[in-house]
Formats: sequence, C-alpha cells, structure tokens
Amino acid sequence: MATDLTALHDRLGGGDLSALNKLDEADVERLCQLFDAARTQQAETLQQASEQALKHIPALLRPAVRKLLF
Amino acid sequence: MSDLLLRAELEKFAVTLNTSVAELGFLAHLDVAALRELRAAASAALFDRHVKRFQRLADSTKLLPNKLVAVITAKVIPPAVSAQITGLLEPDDAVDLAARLDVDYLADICVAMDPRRAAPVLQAMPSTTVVEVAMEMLRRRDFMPMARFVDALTEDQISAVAQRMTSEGLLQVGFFVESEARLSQLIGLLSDAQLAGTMPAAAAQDGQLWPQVLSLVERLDPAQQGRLGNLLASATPEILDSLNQALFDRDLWRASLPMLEAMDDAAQEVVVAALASHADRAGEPDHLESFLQSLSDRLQRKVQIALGRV
Repeated sequence: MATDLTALHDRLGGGDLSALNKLDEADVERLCQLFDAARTQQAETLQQASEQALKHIPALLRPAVRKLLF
Repeated sequence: MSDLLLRAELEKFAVTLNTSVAELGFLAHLDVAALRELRAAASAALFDRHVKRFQRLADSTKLLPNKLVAVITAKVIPPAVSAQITGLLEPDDAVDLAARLDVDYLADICVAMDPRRAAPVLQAMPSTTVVEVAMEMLRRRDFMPMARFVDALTEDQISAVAQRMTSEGLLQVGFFVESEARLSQLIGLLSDAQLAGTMPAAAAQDGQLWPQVLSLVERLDPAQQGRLGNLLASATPEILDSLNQALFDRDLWRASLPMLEAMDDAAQEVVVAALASHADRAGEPDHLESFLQSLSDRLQRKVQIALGRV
C-alpha cells in the first residue's frame, strides 16, 4: 500500500511527490519534523534579525522602518 | 558513482533544512531525482512561508542609505536571512551593498542562497566581485554551493571564475553541477591546457577523484566527451594507468564508454594501448568481458587486437 504523503503535501505544496512513495510512515513523519524545525528556526531567525536591525537604525527613521517591518 | 551523487543531494538538502547529512540518513534509499525534487519543494516552501517578511526587510533597505544598510547587515543580519532577501533587492542596490560587505560574509550568503531565485541580482554583479567570492568559497572547499551558481551566472562571470580555478576545484565543482547542458557549456569555456590539467588532479592521491571525473564526463555532450577523451590521449602513462585501475578495480568502466566512443581514432589507439599495457602488468582486470561486450564492434576489435586476442 502506498504511503500516505498528505502531511508532506500540506507542508510542501501540491507538487508531484510520487517518487517519495518509497518512504514509510515513520520516514514521512521524521521528514515533516525536520521541515517544521527548519520553518520554526527560520521564523525565529527572521524575527530576531528584524528586531536587532531596528536597534541600529537612527531614531528619526526608526518608526517608519518599524511600521514596514512589523 | 550514484553514491557520490546521492551524498551530494543529501548535503544540499541538509543545507536547505539547516541540519546535518547524518540526520537525513533515512532518505539515502531514495534516488537522486526524487531527492532533488524534494529539496526544490522544501526550499520553495520555506521561502514562500515567509516571503512577505523577507520582502518587507528588502523594502526597508530603500528607506536607508546603503552605507548604513551594509553596517547593519554585517552586524545583525545572519547570512541565511540575507540569502533569502538578496533576490528581492533591486540589482543596483544589491551590487552596491555587495561592494560594502566583507567577502567572508558574501561567501556565507552564497552557501545559504538558492541562486535560482536571485539570478537577476547575481548577473548584475561585476565579475571582479563574483571572482573574489568564488575564490573565498574555493579556499573553504565549498564546491557544492559553488556548483549551484553555475546555472544562475552569465557566461562571462563563469568564464572569469574558471580562469582562476584550480584543477581540483574545477573537477569538484563540475561534479556537482546539476544541468547537463550548462556543464557542457562550462567545460567548453575551459582551455585545452586547463582541461588537461584536471587529469593529474584526478590521478593524484591514489586516483581518488576519478569517480567524480567519470561522473562528470558521462553527463557531457558528445562534443565535449570527445574533446576530453582526445586530451586524455596526451596524458602520461602513469595517469592512464591510474585511470585504468579506477575503471576496473572500482567498477567505473560504464561511465567511460561514451567518452571512449566519442574520441578520435588516434586517441582511441593510445587509450586502448594503455589498457593493454595495464592488463599486461596487473593481469586481466575484473569486468573486462562486460566492458568488451559494451563497446561498439569497431572499438571492441581494437581492444581485442591490443590485448593480443586477435
């Protein structure tokens, strides 16, 4: 029986992932976990970078940049 | 050979997911094409997830002088974030910012970047900048990330980098280039002297780079396969012996077939004689019969004659 790739499709979009049918359920779950971790880390890094960048912007310009960033 | 390509795909995917190759070991039974599709889908999904925020960061640079943007970038923006934003900048701004950032930081951006999303910006970069960053990546032996840029840069930029590459660097980067058409173009930009220089590099250290060379050769168009084969005929006997050893001891002979068939008659004579000489010294190599059966009738006869069988 083909592996259920729904969870992976939900994360990666609707492209053709049929070649991944060789993965078993545990592999798909592990892959989803790694993708989720990468996504979370990217969000955190982005948030931190935006906050840190704002601190270095001259006070006069800061409100305008803050409005754009957040 | 496919093991090497698989390892390369796992390395690329590990960069995309910001994890280690060891963590992706459970994917090693997938084929290379499946892994490539998976990586492309994951890279696009990660970018799409935060594209609005990346775009807002890119837009914010327009409110500030580039001098200040460069200072802030170097201080607090991780290269992985800059890598996502680069393709969203106006090319002129990106060129100006690149000129203000350290080459170390630029090389870090390149390792994390998906060059296909930043082609207009990359193509706007002066060749001097491209070469400077490429040399830093070469120094770090970031061969796989360098190869990903071959599809996104202009011919002039690639040619400028190729002139400065080491022979080993050319082989290692060439091995990782994905597009077969682009790989043939890249090899076409190299002079005969540069290409000939890759052969001692392949044979060095007990011939450990022959698998990469043969994988690369297998993916070239027939014109470049023939050119490389003809140059092989002018290699030293030691280099040819090292190649023969790799072909048969490591069971790599299948990858050499298109090149052997594409080279001219004179080159074939030299290479076939080297094979016979190798067989004389080291005994009949493993896989020789399978190799002979795979050759065209004409080439098979040449080898049979050289081996003294006819």
